[in-house]
Amino acid sequence: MNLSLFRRLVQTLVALGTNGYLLFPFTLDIYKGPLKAVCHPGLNCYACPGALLSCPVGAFQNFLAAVRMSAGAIPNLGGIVVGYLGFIGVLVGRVPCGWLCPFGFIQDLLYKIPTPKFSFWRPLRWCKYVVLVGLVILAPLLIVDQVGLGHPWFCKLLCPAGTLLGAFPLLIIKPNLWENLGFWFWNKFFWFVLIVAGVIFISRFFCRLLCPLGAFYSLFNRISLVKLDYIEGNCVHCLACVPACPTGVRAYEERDSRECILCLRCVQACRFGALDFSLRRPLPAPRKTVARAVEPPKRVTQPT
Amino acid sequence: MRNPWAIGLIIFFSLLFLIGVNIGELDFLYNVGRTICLSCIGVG
Repeated sequence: MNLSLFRRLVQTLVALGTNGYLLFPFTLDIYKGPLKAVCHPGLNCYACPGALLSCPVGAFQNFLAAVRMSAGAIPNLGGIVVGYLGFIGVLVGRVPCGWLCPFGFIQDLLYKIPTPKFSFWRPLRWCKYVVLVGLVILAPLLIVDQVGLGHPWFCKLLCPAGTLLGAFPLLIIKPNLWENLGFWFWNKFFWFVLIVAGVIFISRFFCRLLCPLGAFYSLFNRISLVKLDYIEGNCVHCLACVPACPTGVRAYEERDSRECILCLRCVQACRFGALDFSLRRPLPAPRKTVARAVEPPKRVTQPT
Repeated sequence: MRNPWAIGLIIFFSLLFLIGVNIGELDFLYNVGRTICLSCIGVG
């Protein structure tokens, strides 16, 4: 099977499978079963009526937002989420972004809309780290109400997955929510429109610019157990891999790029076998014992 | 390229996860997940 088709199939199955609570039109509520104790590896709003899993970014912010409420006990700092995401990151780096994230899949589909396409100004990629530290970690910890409770600020201000998968369906099945729409909703709606417009014109715009989950996974791209392998001897510098990459990585000169989502489109685009998917050894290979060749006797020249 | 950090980090994150489970974070996660996130919708 074609690799792109296989990836599309995986993305479709994961997106539909993890949002497969089909009873919500009848219960008019979100799924509340035991699977909600498990986080999705990608960005998938847990307020989505069909969502079977929790959103790791939303859950982590809620842990930090409630940290002052656990006075007396051991504070819940979200180690369960960080451990889970870090474990995935060390194993496979940003593979979840390329293969498992439902919002990444939606971006791939939106980018297929035939319009003029634009490139991404590369320094902007650092914004996602600001979002991770500022909105996901610091703001929920530091901005608290009188009771000491924080808010999930990334969800509240920005998250387009929440607007698309959570807000829109819930506003349809729960019309009473319309009465509470105010500044926060319209702010999120504004960002949503802006991000969707960006996604249509720039490949993986949200992942590259704002996604805190992608920013977290990207920290492990240089040490993860899987990697994109570049075989220099096979490369003819035809640059076929450059337009194929959805995140604008130049695979022939950027080794282990933090932007690489390991979608393997470049591997497919390369006709010379210069790029491949491979495993990185976690530990040095065992030394082979090689019989040392007998050195020829040194010629000693006698001083005359 | 070899990567001596990977094994250490895998152990570290596994421990972090297990500590989280043991101090009751699983229940917290479950409760968060089954509550409608008003912030996500933009109404709270």
